[in-house]
Amino acid sequence: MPDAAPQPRARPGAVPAVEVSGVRLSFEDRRILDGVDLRVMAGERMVILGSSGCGKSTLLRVMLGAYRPDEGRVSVFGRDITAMAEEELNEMRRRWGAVFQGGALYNSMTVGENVALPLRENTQLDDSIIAIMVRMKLDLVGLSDFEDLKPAQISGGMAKRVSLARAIALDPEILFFDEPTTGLDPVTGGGIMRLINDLTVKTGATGVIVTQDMSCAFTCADRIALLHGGRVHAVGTPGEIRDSSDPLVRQFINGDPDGPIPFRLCRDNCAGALRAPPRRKSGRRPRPGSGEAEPAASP
Amino acid sequence: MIGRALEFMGQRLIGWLDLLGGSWRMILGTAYWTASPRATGVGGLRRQSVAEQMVRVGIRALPIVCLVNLIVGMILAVSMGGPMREMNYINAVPKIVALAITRQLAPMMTAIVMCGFVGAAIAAELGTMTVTEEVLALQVSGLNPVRFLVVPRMLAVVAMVPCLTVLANFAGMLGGYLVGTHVFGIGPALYQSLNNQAASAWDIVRGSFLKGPLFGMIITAVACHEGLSVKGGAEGVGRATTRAVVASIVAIIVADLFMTALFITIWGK
Ligand SMILES: Nc1ncnc2c1ncn2[C@@H]1O[C@H](COP(=O)(O)OP(=O)(O)OP(=O)(O)O)[C@@H](O)[C@H]1O
Ligand SMILES: [Mg+2]
Repeated sequence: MPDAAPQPRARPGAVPAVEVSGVRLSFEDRRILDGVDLRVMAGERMVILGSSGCGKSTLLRVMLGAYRPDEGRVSVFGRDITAMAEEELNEMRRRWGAVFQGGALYNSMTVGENVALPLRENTQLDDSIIAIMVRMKLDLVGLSDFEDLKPAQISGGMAKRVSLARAIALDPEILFFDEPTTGLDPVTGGGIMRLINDLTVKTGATGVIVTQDMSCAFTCADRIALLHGGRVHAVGTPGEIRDSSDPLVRQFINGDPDGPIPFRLCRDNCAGALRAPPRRKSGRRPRPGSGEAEPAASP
Repeated sequence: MIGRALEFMGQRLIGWLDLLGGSWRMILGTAYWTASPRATGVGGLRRQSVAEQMVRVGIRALPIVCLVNLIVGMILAVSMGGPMREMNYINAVPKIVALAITRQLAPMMTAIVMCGFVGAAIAAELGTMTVTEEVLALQVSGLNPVRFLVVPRMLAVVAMVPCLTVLANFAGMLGGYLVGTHVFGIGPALYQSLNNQAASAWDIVRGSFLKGPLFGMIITAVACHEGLSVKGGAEGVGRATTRAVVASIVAIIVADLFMTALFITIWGK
């Protein structure tokens, strides 16, 4: 399958919105991204799937220009952002919005001020117009009654929706999502997925969605990319991915613990310890990103 | 064995150099964002948040700073009073207290209190914002974290530390006065005139307005650098906070030595 990965389904006249080529990135000798190639066409929703700790968030940050890759380049709308000066990059950043894993709302500001901030800082609009726009954006995510609350006073799902409202404040051309549905109940998660779909369709924005949630992937994706071992292992439409015969892809969509992606709870089989009541203490779960449950990059 | 020790020391050295470089970058960043032509209007200095920070930093720290300096003045008078009385020179107490407070203790004690007060708060606040990706969110939406988070805090602390130091001088001298008059029976009028002979306005001014801003800069730069470079969750925030306080206390004491030496070189006393 990796060789037979379908070519990008270029629509007539479609241009790449984000193009990642040969990106390598290491943290303290640990190579997280090892030659990632990915092309997201304008107007499509690309879902990036991968197991926990495989570097999805890292890849997203590279695309957002927050991490500079050791090698390779990232182009957004045909312009190489890895070689850009901060000033120039900030101009580009006004054309996209991002929703982070935990919402990342500014805790010292109210919900309304959070959404207003990009407008205040990047436009010369009057306060009264900004107030109307904030109300509109919050309406869109169904939270117009919560404008005056602080982020600490709303739930995780609401925080993600506010974060979405903030991300679309400047009507971005690309929307980036990090785990938009993780940790939410199915109904709220479904609501977020519908919002993602509606928003990208209505505004024609490109969507880049990082997730490990299969239902989110199949609901939102025009195309799916599977990240494994620091590379894009397979790319295809949801149909192509579902019918793939690649063992790794099959394992991922079936959620099978046995297969090419190694699975272990932690180094010294804690699952065994879990079954023995007196030694319960050591039966801790691996923390995401702690590197314990990672698919071993080295065998 | 020696290799390990060298490696350890090397890592320590790198850590300190990193702190020095990072803090310096915070200061340069603040200077840039305050002085740049874009300092007014959209994308410029955020006056309102500077004012907000000044209230937070100044007003809340005021009682503690005054209390600490009052007590330092009292301790000084109590500990000097005995020996001076033995030497039959009790009238030296007001002079000693006034000199020690205005030349050294008020600026330094105020700065150290502020390390614990605002340094820790800034490191913890920015550290939490880093961990919860708030800083990243600012950055990727084109809002410079230094302009947004560091500049208001730096300006507020640099403006407030001197003001607090001025008041700290009076609190310290008041402490000495209370002990001198009530415990050692020096007459109030006499105490005041002896105090005024030793304490000069110039000492207070240079202690407050030359040392104060420098100490404020050190506190904020170290705290902001530590906060913004937090790695690894809540635990990392705790570690950064501790490091920020310890490192800025050390830096302030070193800076105080240099400033004092500088003052003596320039003004001869
Ligand atoms: N700033 C950093 N410094 C050092 N290592 C890092 C840093 N950021 C991420 N890593 C490491 O990179 C690896 C990938 O992290 P990343 O957050 O990209 O994973 P992820 O695929 O998003 O996982 P999850 O699904 O749990 O969010 C992890 O092993 C993590 O420990
Ligand atoms: Mg992640």
